[in-house]
Amino acid sequence: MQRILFSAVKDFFSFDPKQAKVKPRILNGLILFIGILLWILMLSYHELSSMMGDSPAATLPFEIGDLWYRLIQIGFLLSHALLISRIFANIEKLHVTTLLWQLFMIGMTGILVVMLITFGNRFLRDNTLIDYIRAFFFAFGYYALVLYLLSGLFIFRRFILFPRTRRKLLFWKLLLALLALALTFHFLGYYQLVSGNIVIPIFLGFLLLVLVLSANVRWIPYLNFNQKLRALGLFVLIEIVTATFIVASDRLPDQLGIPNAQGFLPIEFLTFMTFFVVVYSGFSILVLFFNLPTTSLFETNRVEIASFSKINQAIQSNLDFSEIIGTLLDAGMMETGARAGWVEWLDENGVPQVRNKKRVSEEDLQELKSVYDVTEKVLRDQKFLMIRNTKKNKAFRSSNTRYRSILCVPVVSSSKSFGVVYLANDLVNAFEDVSVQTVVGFTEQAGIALENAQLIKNSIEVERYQEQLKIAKEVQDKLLPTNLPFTDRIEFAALSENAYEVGGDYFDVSHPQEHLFRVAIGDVSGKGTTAAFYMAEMKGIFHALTQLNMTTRQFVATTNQALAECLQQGFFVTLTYLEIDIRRRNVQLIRAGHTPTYFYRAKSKTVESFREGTLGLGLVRKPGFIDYIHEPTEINYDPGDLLVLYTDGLIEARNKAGEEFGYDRFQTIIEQYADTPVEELASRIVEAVKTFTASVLDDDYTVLLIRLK
Amino acid sequence: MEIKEQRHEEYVTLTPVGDLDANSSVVLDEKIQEMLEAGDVHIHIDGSELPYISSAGLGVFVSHLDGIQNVGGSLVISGLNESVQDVFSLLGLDQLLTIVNHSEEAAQMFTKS
Repeated sequence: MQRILFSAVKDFFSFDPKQAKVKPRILNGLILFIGILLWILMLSYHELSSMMGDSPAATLPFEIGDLWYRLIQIGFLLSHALLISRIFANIEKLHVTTLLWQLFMIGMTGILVVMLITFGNRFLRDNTLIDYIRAFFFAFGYYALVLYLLSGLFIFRRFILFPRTRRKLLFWKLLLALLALALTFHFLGYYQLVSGNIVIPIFLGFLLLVLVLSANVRWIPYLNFNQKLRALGLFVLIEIVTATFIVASDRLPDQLGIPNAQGFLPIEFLTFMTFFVVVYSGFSILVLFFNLPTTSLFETNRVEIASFSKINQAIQSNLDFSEIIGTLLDAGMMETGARAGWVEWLDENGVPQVRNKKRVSEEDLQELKSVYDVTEKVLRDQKFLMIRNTKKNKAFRSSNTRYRSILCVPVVSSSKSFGVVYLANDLVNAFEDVSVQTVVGFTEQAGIALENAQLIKNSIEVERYQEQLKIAKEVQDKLLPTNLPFTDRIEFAALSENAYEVGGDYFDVSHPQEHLFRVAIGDVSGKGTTAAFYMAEMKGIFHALTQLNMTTRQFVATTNQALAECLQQGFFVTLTYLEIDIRRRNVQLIRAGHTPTYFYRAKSKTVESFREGTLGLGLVRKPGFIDYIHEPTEINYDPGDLLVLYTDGLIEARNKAGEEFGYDRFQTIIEQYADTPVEELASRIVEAVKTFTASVLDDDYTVLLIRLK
Repeated sequence: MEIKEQRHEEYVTLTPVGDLDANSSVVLDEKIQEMLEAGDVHIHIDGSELPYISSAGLGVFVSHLDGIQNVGGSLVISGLNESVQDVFSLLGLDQLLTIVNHSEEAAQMFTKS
């Protein structure tokens, strides 16, 4: 109970108003509701007071009424200012014309409302009730004006704060503070504490601030010619709308015959805001107007940037060289005003090929080529070459080229050359340094981007290879037997692991007849993918041949022949091949270059190894290989004896000191654990090697144990 | 891997220094290839500074065996340590390659032929 009470108390105190979020839309609605409520209050108050004012008998406590009235006025203005600032607060992107159009439309609607009111008034006959309706209309016209001016204020805020800086934000806040101050004085004016004149210095401050803020027209350069023209037109329209609106609203009370109208809204506030809208629009008109002629210059810059980003996109999306080259050439020609241009791009063999030609003939190219290999020089120097006048250039003086100015820009990265962009003009000294620098700049960028794109492409390829390797590993894992025979006459156990995803170790067991087991363990030279392919080849050969009734020697000879057909020069396979006859308790063994098999005799508890052997497979590829093969080693075993087959990965495993695990340690482990179950022995061997190296093994390894019973 | 080269009248001695594994064997392979192309077909490999050889290392000798014989050259290996010698003989390469104990013996083999 106490705990519940405690947590309730805790909840109460930890209540965070920020957590109780109200949806912005609902909040806006709430503000609007309050604003309209205040407006109605204001209107009815005004109605009431003017009604009372008409009647000489009125004893309404005007002064108190006035105080409340002003409070409602301020509340009305502030709530609407808040609403409109919220509506226009989150314009992320500045769409100049759209925003101006919105403001214009708001103004037009307002004017329309006022005009309708004026127009409708003519049809209203005079009587008291109509007076109230008139008053309502009048107030409605003013309401529209307030909405319009507030919209202007907050739409232009977005313009001024483009881009947003701390200083501008400060000025803007100061502006709002002055507006608030004006309102405060308006409120205080009731008490006669401050005279109306105090508004004048505030107004002067406001004026100064507006002028300062009006200078912030940084959005203008970003518009193109058409947009500027449209913005200019809209600003002019806004000025007209504002003027019309003000005049119409001013005349509204007279037209409607409303007395006491001047006090309906704080006139200072309206003046301030009108002033702001008019001045900022005026400034914008001026700046827009004077900016029109220079727009083309800015537009060129924007086209440059655009074409550069196009180059970048072309590079990143598909590495389509022809598109990149085309864009580079177009951008270069536009920037320098070149009359002709072409690109020499290096093909796969590093030979430059003319890829794009613009207003240049084959003869022109040959003429230039005959002088000397400019492409080679430019790519070697990794620096652009500019010939200002071919007639005065030592190398080109003799040629009949019609071009007088030539600019050659290499497309290179730190490590790679891609090609050269040529720009030519038949005028002398046609290329300005500024534009040359620009062209050099974006060709440099293109070079870097090209290299990056290739690096990314390469890394994607690497990833794809890794994926392929993973699949290869899955396939290879299936090539090794998983269910080894395990009967009361013979038991098998094996452990195998590759250094990389795939490897060259191979072992397999075939059981062609009831009493017969054929076993192979092999190791393809090298590691990794190549080895893995030959290992798969081995599997095919093993399963094909063990089904036939071949002698062990024939098997090895035929395997050698089959492998010789496919093994790459320098590759070989070591193999130990066994034929186990469990009926006669006899093993025939042939060692073809493979690590010697260990044999443990359970009765005497001794371990021996069979070193007699022949060449690894694939070393001699002549048909006479069978002559190299020794007669199989014959082993007659007793129950409990053990054969240990393995690959050199275990023997050659080295520790940090570079010492090999070696045969002696290997044999000791066998001697020590020979009588344990084969699975256990297998893992003991691998463990021992891993403990010795104290790290992962960097070669493929396999151990295959056969317990004979 | 570093390969020392010493030219004699009848033959060239190459002394690979360091482990001969999958990576370093490429260097030796290229070196032998170069020599064969340059017409130096009598090659003596001094294995006295070869602490370890992997199966890929063996592959270098295996792959050039036929090539050397075809151009009438010869390959003699000497000075292998015990474990490297063991690797050669386990694979049966001692049956295909001429492997001797000392450089002097190798020199004799070249001058004889």
